[in-house]
Amino acid sequence: MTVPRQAEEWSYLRAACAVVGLLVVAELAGWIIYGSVHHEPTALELTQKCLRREKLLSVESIGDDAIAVAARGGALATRVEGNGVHLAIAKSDDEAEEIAQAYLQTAGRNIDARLDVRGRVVYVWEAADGPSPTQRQTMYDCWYE
Amino acid sequence: MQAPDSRRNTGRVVAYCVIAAAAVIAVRNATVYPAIAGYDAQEAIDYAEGLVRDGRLPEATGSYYTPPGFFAVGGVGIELGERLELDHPERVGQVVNALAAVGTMLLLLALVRLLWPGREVLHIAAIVFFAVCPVVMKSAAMFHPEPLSMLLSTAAVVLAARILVRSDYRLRVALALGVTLGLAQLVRAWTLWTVGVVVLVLVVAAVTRPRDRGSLLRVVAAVAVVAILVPSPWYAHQLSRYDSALFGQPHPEEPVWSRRPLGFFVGSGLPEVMTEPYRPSFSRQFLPIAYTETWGDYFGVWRWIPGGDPPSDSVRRQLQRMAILGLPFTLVAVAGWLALLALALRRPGRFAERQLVALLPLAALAGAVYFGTAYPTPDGDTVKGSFMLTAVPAWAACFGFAFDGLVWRFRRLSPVLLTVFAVLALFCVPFLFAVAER
Repeated sequence: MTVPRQAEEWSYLRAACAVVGLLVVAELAGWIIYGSVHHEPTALELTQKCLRREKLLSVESIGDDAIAVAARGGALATRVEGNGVHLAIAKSDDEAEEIAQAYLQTAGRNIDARLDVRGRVVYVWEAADGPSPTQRQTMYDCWYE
Repeated sequence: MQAPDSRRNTGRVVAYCVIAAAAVIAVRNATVYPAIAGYDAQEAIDYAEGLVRDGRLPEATGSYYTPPGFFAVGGVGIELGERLELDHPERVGQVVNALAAVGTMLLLLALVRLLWPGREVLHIAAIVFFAVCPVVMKSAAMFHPEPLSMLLSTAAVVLAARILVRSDYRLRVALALGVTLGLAQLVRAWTLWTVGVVVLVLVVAAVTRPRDRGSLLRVVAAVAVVAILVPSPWYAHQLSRYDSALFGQPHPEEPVWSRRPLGFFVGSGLPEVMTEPYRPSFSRQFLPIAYTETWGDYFGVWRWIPGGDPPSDSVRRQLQRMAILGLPFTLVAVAGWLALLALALRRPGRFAERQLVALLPLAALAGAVYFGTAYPTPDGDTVKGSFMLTAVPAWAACFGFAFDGLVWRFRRLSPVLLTVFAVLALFCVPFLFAVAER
């Protein structure tokens, strides 16, 4: 009785193959349409979202830090385990270097320990001895550029 | 296809040859793959050492939410490895995992023979799918609980299928099934969906087999009681210390359904899923992460190391090749799964045992989607394909079912289909070998 059984199975399998084909077409169509209308979130938006949702931190505007405010990718302030940090996102490696240099020239004592650059993201920590490993890792976990 | 005796014998030989070859690769990988490169490796090794040496469980650190089953075995393995003066004593645990994968392959063969007797093409296709699916070999090389949970989950599915196929409702068989499900929960919480599927299918069988209803309900009761009793000390321990018996990690306050955008559930990851199938591409989309980690190395545990330079050109080409090769296997498996689901829904009383294979991938997908949604991470860490490892044998059976159907329907093209299948599988083989240095 195998052949009739397999014939019955085939009717279901044929329909399933059609569904899979439709899913593939839908994914391809969705990709084309999505790509034409969607704008990717910025690195700043992704960072803010990550800090708020994944790390459960409060995120604030940068206030009177003129160097960070001028960063073309945006900037934000937050506090990790009691240590405040300003984060500035550059649009290029050169701009990140310029931001770091500006901090080194103007930001006061122990800036070497407090300043951290990762790719195009510049961090300036509040504590005089800079961030602890866990504080730094928390920010790196939400690193976008 | 129903096979005559000679073809059946050939099919068996081929199936055992594939299993033997996979066993050699799995054990070889376990002896060369650096344990520290695997998923959460340091946490797993610390857990195992602490458990066996000091008799203590981790307190709110590391993998404290993971049951101790594998770590007890792995910890004894480390002790044994140290007595044998191995350079890397954790290798004993890795070899145990390799053997667990091989054992799962044998159980898969037993399962498909029980569910579809005499259909050798189906059996071989299922075994080959399982053997060449990289997530199996990757996990089998690591010091990690997943392969052992896959072995126990598959053993439970085989026992449940045996009960239904042979109408074997003896109490000791039901107790064996309950104990297996209980032990599986003591290895990994993901096996809870195996418990749910097994109990549901037994209940459906009880409803649709009036003559056996009383016996089946007794089986269901015995299975449920034992499957709850065996892991209950672990759950009680977790509840006495944490908010949850399963995974007491912090998560956003908002409702589960709003923790991920729609794109997380429907995003295809195109074109990066084919051109850049590795982290951090499409890190906020479920399907492409699960797919590329299953068929490649999205998280950088097999061919490249995350956190430094992106994969080299050579590695990138390997990952791109696997992303393409995995596609026909995946699409055929999904077709087989949908067909079996439809059959289960339309005719729940007929071949109830096949519902085990149809429902396990559904439960695994639902569980993984829930976990990835409830605990969102920016890097997709909660969407590992290995979380669904317990469902890979069922996916393999779905693939075998669909491939066998295609070969039966297109009999004249069957040599072509079989050749294409063999060539695709062979192209996957180089990726199955672990490299000692990356």
